[in-house]
Order: sequence, then C-alpha cells, then structure tokens
Amino acid sequence: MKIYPVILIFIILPLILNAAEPDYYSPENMLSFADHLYDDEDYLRAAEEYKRYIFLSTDDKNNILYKIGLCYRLASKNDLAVEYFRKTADNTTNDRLKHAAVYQTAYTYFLAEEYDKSITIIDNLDVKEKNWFYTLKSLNYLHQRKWYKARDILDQIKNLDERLIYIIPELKAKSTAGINMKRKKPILAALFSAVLPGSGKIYCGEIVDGLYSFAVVGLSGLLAWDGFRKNDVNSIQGWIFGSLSVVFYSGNIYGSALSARVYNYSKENDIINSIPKLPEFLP
Amino acid sequence: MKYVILIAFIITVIQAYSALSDTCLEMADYLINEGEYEDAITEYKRFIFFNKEKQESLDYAYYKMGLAYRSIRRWHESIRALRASIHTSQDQDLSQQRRIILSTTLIASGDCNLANIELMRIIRSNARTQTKKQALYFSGVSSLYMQDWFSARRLFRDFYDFLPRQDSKERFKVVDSILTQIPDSYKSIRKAKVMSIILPGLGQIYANDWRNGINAFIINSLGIGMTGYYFHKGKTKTAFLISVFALRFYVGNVYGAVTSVENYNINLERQNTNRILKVIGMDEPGFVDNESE
Repeated sequence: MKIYPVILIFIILPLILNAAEPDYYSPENMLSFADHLYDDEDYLRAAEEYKRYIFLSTDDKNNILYKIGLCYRLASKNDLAVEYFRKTADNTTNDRLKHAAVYQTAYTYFLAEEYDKSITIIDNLDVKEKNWFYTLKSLNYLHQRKWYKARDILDQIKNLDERLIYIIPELKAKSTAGINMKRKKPILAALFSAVLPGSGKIYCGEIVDGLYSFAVVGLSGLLAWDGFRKNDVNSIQGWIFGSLSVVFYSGNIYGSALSARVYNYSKENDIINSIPKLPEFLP
Repeated sequence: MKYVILIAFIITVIQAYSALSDTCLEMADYLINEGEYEDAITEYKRFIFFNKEKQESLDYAYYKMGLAYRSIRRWHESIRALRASIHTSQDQDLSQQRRIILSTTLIASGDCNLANIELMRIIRSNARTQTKKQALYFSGVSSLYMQDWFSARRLFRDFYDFLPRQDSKERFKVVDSILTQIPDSYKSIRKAKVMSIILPGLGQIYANDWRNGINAFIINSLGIGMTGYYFHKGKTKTAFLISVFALRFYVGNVYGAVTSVENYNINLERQNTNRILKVIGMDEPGFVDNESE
C-alpha cells in the first residue's frame, strides 16, 4: 500500500518540471516580449513579434498596428512606418488613436525629408487640438528654409501643453535667426567681381581665392594688353592671353555668384542643424 | 508491482530530462546551426526574457546570441551579449574562454585597445595554460593592428616560450626580426617636406613614389624654368603670370610629398603585419572545446 505515494511522486514530478517552462508562444507572452524588445530599442525584431501577436490574438489590433508603425519609424524604415500608420488611421474608430496615427504619418514624412507631403497631411486634417500639428508644420517649413512661414505658424500656437512649452520659443528663435541672417547677395558678388576680379570672392569670405583670382585675371589681362599694344590686332600673344583672360574673368564672375550661394546655404544649414528635436507625441 | 515502479521510474527520468531541455533554446540552437542568425537571436532573446532566474542556461543563451551577432558582423551587439555571458557565467574556465572570444570580436570591430585590456586580464589571472597562450597570441595580434611593435614583440616572445618545438622557435626568429626592423623602416614626413622644398619631387622619390616624384619634378621644373626664362628675357609680366601658376604646383608638390610618405608608412605597416600574421598563423592556438553545450 505504501508504494502508491511513490508512484504518484514519479508521475507528478515531471509534470512540475514541465510546467517550469513558460508558454513562450502564447499571445500574452508574445506581446510582453515584443514590448520588452521595443524598450530595448530592438525595433525591427519588436515589429515582427507584434505582427505575430496580431496573427494569434483576437483583441483590438489597431493599437498594435500603431506600435508596429512606431517600430518601423524608429528603425528608420519610413515607407513601412507610413504603411502601418495609415492602416491604423483607416481601421480605428478611436479618435485619439486616429489623430496620433495621422500625426505619426506626417512626422515620418518629415523625417524622410518629404516636407511637402507632411504639410499636405497636416493641412487636410480637421482637429481641435492643433498645437502638435502646427509645431510639426513649422518644423517642415524651417527645414525648407521658409523662415517667414515657419514663424507665422508658430505665432498661431496658443495654450501650449507642457511638452511643447520649451521647444516653441526655440523654434521661434530659429525662424527669427533665419529671417535676420545676413545673406550674401549673388548679384552683388558677381558685380564686385565684374568691377574688380576676385573682390566678389573676398566679399564672400574667400580671401585667398579672391587674391589668386585677382592675380590670374589681372596678369593675363595685362599680358593681353601688352601684346596688343606692341603688335596691334596681329599680336598672337594678345589673342592667346586675351582669350585666357576672358575665360578667367567670366569664370570668376560666375564663381563669385556661386560662392555667395554656398555661403548662404552653409549659414542656413548651421541654423537648421541646431533645430531641437520634437518630443515624442503620446496619443 | 516491481515492474510498475520500474516503468514509472523510467518514464519519470525521460520526462524529467525532456523538461530540463528548453523548447525555445533548442529552437534557437537549431536556427543558429542552420545559419538563420536573426531568427536565432530572437529566440535567444525570448529565452533570456522569460528565464531571468535560470542562471545555468542564461549565460549560454547570451554566449550563443553573441556568436550569432558576430556571424552577421554586428560587433556592438555581439560584444554586449558576450560581456553578459561572461558576467552571468559561474564557471571560471568558461568565462575566460568567452573572454578570448570577446577579445577577438573586439579586434574585429577595430577596438584593439579594449581587446588588449580583456586579454591582459586573462594573462595576469591564474587561467589555464591553453587559455593564457590564446590570450598572449591574440594580444600580440591586437598590438600588431595598433602598430605597437614593441608590445607585439614582447607578447609573441612570451607566447613562443610556451611552444617547445624547433620549427616554432624558427618562426619566432622571423617574427622577431621583422618587428625589430619596422620602427627603423618608417620614412620621415619632415625629411620629405624639406627634400621637396629644396628639389620638387625629391620627397616623393624618398617615399618610393617615383611616378609622382618625376611628375612633380617635371611640372615644377617647367614652371620655375619658364618663370626664370621670362625674367631673364625681361618679360616680367609673363614671368609673374607663370609664377602664380607655378607657385600652386610648388606648394602642391610639398603636400604631395607628405601624402606619399604617409602612404608609404601605411603600406609598410600593412605589409609587415600581413607577413607576421602569415608566419604566426601556423602556431595559432586552437580553442578548447568546452563549449559543447
């Protein structure tokens, strides 16, 4: 009779040991593992797990679709991110999630440097709470170097929530910096170089290049003049150095205008590169 | 009744054994063997996430995940996983072995400094001889990649002290002579600059860059010669114009000499490193197979 408890132990023990292994592939565990991967910034792997969860689960899938979109956005897979945000926006009946998905679509386009698409999405949206959308729109304008438009949009933002309260003044400062930036005028640079070769380049801050251009254009012109002075129009030296001088002279004018543009572009880039990042939008 | 107990016992043993092996870990091992590294990593991560208390398998999962990342050349993640496997391992020998793998991964990722720190920890510890040999070997290799010829020489000398065979001793002599010669074989940038200032192209020729040296010599000779010629003829304006162009070539020639010497020195390091690696490759200590989990 004493043998039965022993047999019972033999049967129960393996069951206990087997029970020690978690159910790795249950929908709940899959979701918690996906969340862990997301927190660990392993976004692509997290996206795959969320997809598996959607396949296995019967719960509302729109939140997960939104999360997959976020994973792709954070992994810089912008096309896929837009696809999933659009799916979320199309499928959900929850207004907050819908607006969040639309915002993320616009933000993903902004990150993909498709500023016009981002602005179009914001313009076509009809929501009460516009601060986040306007902030994003102003960011698009700032990156497009449309400083006045950016400032106009920023001026429309009222009743800031605490997550935007610090960034808006900074964005305003950047748009003002863009407006007030002292630009070099390409026409003026070209004009300077037309009057005095190299001076356009000096005006754009390229002093060595300016002096070199002055020396080359000046000396070739001087040699051409010298040739023509001695042998009139029959001077070979005059024609050779004259042609060279014309090429150098016109090249210098064009180069000076280009230098002014490069100067402006680089100064604007300094402003754009110092624009702060937008805080994460929470639905 | 005896037979009933025996059968129940056998069933228990079989089931208990199968319960100790883990589905997720088995799947991960299968995937890594199949070369499906990304999927294997997911399964190792899943195992780690759900078994944070299972110390005996956790270090193994980290280790294999590190190897999977290493196979797809994601060095940063591989290093992180290998470090975790070392920290979670209870077995000292196993930890040291994994530290060697970690160091080779660090070398592959280009972080030879950190690799050397890890290897030094093994060399100074009371690790097994085979592990110490490996540490000395890879530390030498790491020093080679850092162009620290002095340390490489010392480390290879210590490594070859472990190898009693005559042919190994001969190979060390070859390595030692290469390592002794390298520091004296470098070309000086300063010297090349001065040479090219005195005679254009000479700095390049000093760095064995004959093509660019002759080129610089011809162009600069023409420029300087023509400037001198027109000055001599009294055509000062022409001479000035040519001298403006010639000056650019002259300055370029000096910079070119610097580049030639830099390239020469980089090639010297690369060639000698490859020569040494070829020689020492024959004595590379193998890994002890105690990772047969």
